[in-house]
Amino acid sequence: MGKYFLKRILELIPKLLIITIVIFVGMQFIPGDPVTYLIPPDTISKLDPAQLEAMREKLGLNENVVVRYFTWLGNLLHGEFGYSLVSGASIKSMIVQRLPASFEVAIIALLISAACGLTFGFISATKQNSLIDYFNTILGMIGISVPEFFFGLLGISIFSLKLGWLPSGGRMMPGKEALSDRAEFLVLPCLCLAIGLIATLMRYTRGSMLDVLHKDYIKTARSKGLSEANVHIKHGLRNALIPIVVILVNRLPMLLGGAVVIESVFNYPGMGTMLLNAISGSDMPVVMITTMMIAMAILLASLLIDLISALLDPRIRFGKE
Amino acid sequence: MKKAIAFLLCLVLLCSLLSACASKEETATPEAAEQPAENTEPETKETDEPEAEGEEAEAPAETEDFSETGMLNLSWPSDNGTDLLPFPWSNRNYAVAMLFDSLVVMSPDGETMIPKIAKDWTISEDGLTYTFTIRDDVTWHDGTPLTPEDVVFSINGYLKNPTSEYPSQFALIEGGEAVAAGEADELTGIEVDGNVVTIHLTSPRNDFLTYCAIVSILPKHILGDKDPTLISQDEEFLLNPVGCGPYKVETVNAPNYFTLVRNDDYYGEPAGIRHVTYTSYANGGADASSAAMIAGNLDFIYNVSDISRAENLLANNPNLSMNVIPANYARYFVFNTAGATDGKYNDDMLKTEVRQAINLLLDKTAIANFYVGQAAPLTTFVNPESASYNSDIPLFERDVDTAVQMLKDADFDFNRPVRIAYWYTDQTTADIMALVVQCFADAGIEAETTMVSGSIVEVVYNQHNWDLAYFGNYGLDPVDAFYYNLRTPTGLFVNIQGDYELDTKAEFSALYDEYFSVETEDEKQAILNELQVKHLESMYTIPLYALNKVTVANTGKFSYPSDLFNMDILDWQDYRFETWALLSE
Amino acid sequence: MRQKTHRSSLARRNLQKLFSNRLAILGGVIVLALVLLSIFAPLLTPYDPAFIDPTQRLQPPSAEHLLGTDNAGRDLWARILYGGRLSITIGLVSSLSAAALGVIAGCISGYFGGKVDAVLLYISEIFSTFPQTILILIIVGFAGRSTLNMVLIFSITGWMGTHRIVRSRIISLREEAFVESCVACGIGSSSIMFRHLLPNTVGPVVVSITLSTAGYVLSESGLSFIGLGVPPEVPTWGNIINAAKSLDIMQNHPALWLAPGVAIALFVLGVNFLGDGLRDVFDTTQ
Repeated sequence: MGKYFLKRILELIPKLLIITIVIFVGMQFIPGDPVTYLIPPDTISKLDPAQLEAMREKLGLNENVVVRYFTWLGNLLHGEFGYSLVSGASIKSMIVQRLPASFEVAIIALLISAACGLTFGFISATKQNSLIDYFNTILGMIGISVPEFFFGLLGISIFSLKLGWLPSGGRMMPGKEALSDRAEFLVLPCLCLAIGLIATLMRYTRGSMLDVLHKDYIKTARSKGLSEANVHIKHGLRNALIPIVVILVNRLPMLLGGAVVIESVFNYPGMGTMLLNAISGSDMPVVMITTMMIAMAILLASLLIDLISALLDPRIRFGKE
Repeated sequence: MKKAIAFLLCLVLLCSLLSACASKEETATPEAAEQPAENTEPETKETDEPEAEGEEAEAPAETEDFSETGMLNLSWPSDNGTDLLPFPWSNRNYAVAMLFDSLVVMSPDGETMIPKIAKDWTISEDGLTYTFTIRDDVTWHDGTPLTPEDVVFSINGYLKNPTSEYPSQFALIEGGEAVAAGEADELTGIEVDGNVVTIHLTSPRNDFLTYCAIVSILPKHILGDKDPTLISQDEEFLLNPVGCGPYKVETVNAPNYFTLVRNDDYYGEPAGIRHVTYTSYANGGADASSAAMIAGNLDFIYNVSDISRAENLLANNPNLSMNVIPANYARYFVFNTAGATDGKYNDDMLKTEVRQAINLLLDKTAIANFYVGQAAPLTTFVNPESASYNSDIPLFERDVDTAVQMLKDADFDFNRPVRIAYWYTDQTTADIMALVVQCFADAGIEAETTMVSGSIVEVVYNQHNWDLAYFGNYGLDPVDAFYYNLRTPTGLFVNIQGDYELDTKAEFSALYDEYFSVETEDEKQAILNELQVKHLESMYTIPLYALNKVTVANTGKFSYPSDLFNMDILDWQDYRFETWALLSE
Repeated sequence: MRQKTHRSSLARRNLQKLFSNRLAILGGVIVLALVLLSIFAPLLTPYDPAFIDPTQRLQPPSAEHLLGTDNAGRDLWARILYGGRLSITIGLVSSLSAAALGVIAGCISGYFGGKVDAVLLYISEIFSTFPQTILILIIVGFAGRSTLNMVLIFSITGWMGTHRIVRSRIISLREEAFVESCVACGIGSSSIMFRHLLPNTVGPVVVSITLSTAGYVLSESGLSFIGLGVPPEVPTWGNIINAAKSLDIMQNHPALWLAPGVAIALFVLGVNFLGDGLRDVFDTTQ
């Protein structure tokens, strides 16, 4: 099995390359211009197109696509991440600033949603069709049917504006850079991100548990005289966990780069808005690096899922593949 | 545990319903809080006259001097999510003005120029030679003394930088055209003699001195070796900006905030407030900054786009007050007279009567009503309320019947659609566009609107697959802002105006140049009157509405001169930072 | 002949089971009601959902405008009704087409195994590794904002999940005895795949479809939030709810977000209850 995983890790590289090529080529179709992205549209007509062209020339934007791709790849292999075409900021520093921000929110939200989602789902499944089950179901429905930004705005409206307990957004303020001081900035974004996840996890847990609880080996366990708790947890939950683990680990990379709505509502400087702005401005180096990082995270997560699945379900082995 | 969480969620839902009901009562009296900054005159300052620069604001008589211990929270004026400061030559607003000084600034009433780095100046009789005497006691934030070489470097650099906001005045300096085109390295029309800088123009320009306020003087010893084309992207400088203004940078924590601290070695009066923080709202936009203002985390927003948003802010936080600034900002339609690259150009746009008819079709009052209290429909580009309006021109009235008749007389093809392009992403613009489509439909014409995303230069100017485009522009002077587009096309406008009616455009150019070379107000007014008439005859652009700016400030905490935002001269004005004060934490 | 009787009584039993599930019926009724309301929109409101009337902006509910007006003066009730058409279409069609793609891929993957499976898995991984934002931005940048592009994007980015589910189901099923007996009887592989194995995978696929329908209705709203969704003049529930983006509207004009919010919630509730009922039916017959 060790050889199998080694092979998987080596396969990452061509996959990443394919993705970078597809995105590089795809971006050529988007009519963006990094040189004028920052300039307010009202001012653009006053600028000198020849000077803008000179700027583009110097930034290497007029070269052949293939040349540009290999230049970028070559630099990357030397460890140079490059500079943003829009602002001139070094991409390394942009990532160093924004990645921990996204990571903090993602991890905390995942932990909260795992704890709550699993618990609620477990209870719902074991007490199927009881009042608690219905209650959880309805809450779950609300959780997935209301758009993310709405919970965000609600949270800000109540906890920040009315009560003044939490800040209305941002990640830190002068004098409040340490994690203990910053915690108040994390509360609302993490909770809002978690709500949708909790609802989904709850439903999946419930469904998966119910599936498992009706299986034969559960009846066997019961007939052996094991307690309900033992049956439910040791036999039921353990087997129901696999699809849930799949969902959880799958979400982590998405949270890294995809929490754009939450970042927007809470003015939180994360990878999501960085990527969105980079794409809008055709800021190729930033788009490429960010996409690569997210892709790598997703591929690694996929590997992790397989590993955990193998550990949890003895039926899954890797001889055949 | 899970029951408690479920309970909490229910509580949250209940609270939200309650809050939705409760907040309705609070919005009953927005007018009470809506006083212009004039009335919020705390006892700490008596600086109503512009000459009061010399007086320092008195500290309040309380135990704590909040101007020393507190923090003024402002927002980072960048719309598009950069992680760095805006480059001073691309944009001169109050953040830049705190760090960087220029030669002169404008007085609050817009009438006179006030010396800054230039302590004195003379203008020759023919308006071609400007002589500035540079102060000798100015030091950069890193201690190096400022020399006239820095001034020369800055003016040259401003012309070479592709993103500079107002290069046209400086292109008039001898050698300016060559420098802007990249053919020459230095302006020939600037000389230094001791601490005197002399500038020679190729033709007189009566607002040249005014525009000297725009060019922030930057340090040659730091930026002199950088590539002038890419200077606006110099990360090193933007992470550690060195200027000579009343504030210097304390910490830069991109992308969250940067903090400024009073420059104790400033050559002029020391700034009133010691610490200022600029927080970035690039990720969250206007909604995030509104929330911050209500929560008390932000003390001032310069351009709240919508007056109803400002009223909502005031309704939610009693410490706030707002101020409406009559602004030289207007939105208008521009006609494409150069065809379209996809071949689907509606060439009826080339007929003058068609353009005039389209002007009559639009319900400008309804459009302006989207910004109720903030916008006024326009007949010409001069606001009808202003004294400069040509009173011989009757005010605009929508007339669909006359318009349809004019179109028929001009053989307009009613079956061809009219394509309209726009790029502002806010909801109100989308609604206005939908209303415009309806206006066209009233005449039986189908109008298609497209929101341009991505590169505006590429899609709007290079491809120009539209018949009408929704522009907005601003200027110190309506001629520069709006009649600028009617001249012989230059730059990007060549792509969308082509060779159409070049002789008329040449006449506009002549009037424009004359306007900026004459001396008296009466002469200028006569030319402006003529411009207004001529413009309506040719109708190359359709004026829609003038939009005022709204500022909202936490005047319970932050005090500044009451005439500071009377006129829309933000990038040019004298901020008088020495009179600013904090009244509370 | 014996097979036919077996099937029809099975079908009847399934239907009976479904109808005895009260929640499922409630769900079905809700969905049907919403669909009918959308279809008969022109009969239920005299207003054109796109008609702008700046004099009637942000009016509260009244006799003239049942739910009030939005910030361009458009009648909200009309927009909800017509908006339902697009929202429901986008949600259902996207999830159905994504599921269809995933099921076909999963069946082929799971049944044939080996190289075919490996290739499909590889493709599936590459697709899942693209951050969805990028794909959407590229497609929107290239082809513009329209409903069709929306559905296309959701289908292309959504088939991988179903593929995995169906694939693992088929892998575990193909070891079972009845497949061997089918092969022994000489039944062709596509017949085995689609007539014998596929119905047994329907359970989780149906759950996936119901959840993803709701998901797509919301994804559309999220995309509109960042400016990539259906053009703003076109009413969808997601578009309408985005008006509540500003604190002003959220606090002072609750009808503007409550109406589309309730519509979305009801739809999601209905589809999920229905889906649950269907899943219960399919599961126990294994």
